[in-house]
Amino acid sequence: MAARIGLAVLWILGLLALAVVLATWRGALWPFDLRASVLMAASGLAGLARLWWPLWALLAVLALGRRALLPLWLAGLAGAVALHWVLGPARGLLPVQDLGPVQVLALYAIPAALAVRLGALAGIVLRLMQVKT
Amino acid sequence: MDRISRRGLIRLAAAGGAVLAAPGILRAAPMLAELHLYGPPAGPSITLAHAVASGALDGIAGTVTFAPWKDPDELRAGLASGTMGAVILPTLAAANLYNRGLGVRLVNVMTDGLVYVVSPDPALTTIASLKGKRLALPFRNDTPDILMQRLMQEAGMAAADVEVVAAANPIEAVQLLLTGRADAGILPEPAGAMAEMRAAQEGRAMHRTIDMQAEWAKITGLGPSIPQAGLGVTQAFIDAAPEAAAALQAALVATLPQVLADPNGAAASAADALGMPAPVLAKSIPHCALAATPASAARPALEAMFAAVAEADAAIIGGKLPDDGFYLL
Repeated sequence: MAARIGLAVLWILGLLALAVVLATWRGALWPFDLRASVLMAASGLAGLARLWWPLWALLAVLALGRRALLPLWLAGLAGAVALHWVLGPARGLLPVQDLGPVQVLALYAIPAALAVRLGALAGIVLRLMQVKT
Repeated sequence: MDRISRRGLIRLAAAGGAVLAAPGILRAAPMLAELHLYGPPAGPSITLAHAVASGALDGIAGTVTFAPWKDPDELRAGLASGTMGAVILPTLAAANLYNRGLGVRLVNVMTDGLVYVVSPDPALTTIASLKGKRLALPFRNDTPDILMQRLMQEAGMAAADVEVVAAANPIEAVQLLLTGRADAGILPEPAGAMAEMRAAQEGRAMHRTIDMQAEWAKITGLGPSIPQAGLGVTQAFIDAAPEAAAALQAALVATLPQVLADPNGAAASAADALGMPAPVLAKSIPHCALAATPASAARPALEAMFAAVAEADAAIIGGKLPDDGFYLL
């Protein structure tokens, strides 16, 4: 069980590192400055978390008891893009057509994966607590 | 082979000593033992911080440092206490301090304006279009606020026509914009660049909708320029080294083309000193209208700005236009 928790935490840390890399690429953050990349990644994740939090919460709940997370991530990604397409411009987001498919996928890939992985981690911890009680 | 005589050895040693000492003799002694420069965490300080980092000021003083001041209160306290002898400051503040007898004189103008109205709404392209909107405004009662009030007056608007959302600093104003608590913000660089960059990370639109410099040109008729900030020096600084101000200006004139030609390099060398991320500084440089114009050459633009501001409230510049003594170079 400890190994599974460790693996889940590693996944989340890896995703956060990937978020920093993606923020650097998407924002053309040159000359490279780790502070700027971390700041921009955190700002982007916080903004998207605030904007579509019901979707992320739903993804996390659905991930609680699952082992096959890839289909859930893909469904979450598709849901986020659909929400952006329909409701985004009214909430101050650029239209999907303006962003382009690559930028839209890059925008939501990490938040959707983080929601799924956090849900999975919470599921492992919950099962551990049930076993102990 | 003959052995070297004692006299020859002495001659040789003397000649060697002279050769070794030559660079020190030929090099002029620094004008000051230490030179501590200050500036806002904003565009014009990039030139100064880059000049310090690149060693362009090493001939002026043995030790040269740069530190940012964080808000106008810290600037005023530093000048009043004598801690700050050479500092980049808003030209309106410099005129006010000079007219009040605090002895601050202007060496140059280091930007021709770096304030923009930034908004997620691309339709807010005129001052009149801001009517009824929530406007994030850092540094209340300082240069951006004063300029905006004057522009609103020109557009026939009253102060109550916009809802000002006060921000403690430009970064807080960016946050107000991104979280939708303000419809637009009056942002100096590099905050404008930061707003664009952070918005892009959320997939948001963020536009520079009004170039305040262009709006200001409609009042002064002198082109899109707001000689907003420049290097000021105190009388104590001038007394300590009368030639230092001219040497500083010459070094800044030489440094400016490097900054404009290589914004990434300049941003990298200024980032630590300004406490701002290098990519944000690099992206803001093209919007900073950086300059190193001697104060006397910028005098017509400065006086046009002082006069326009004084029409609304002469107390902002200390009651009158500064006289010849204000323009040091």
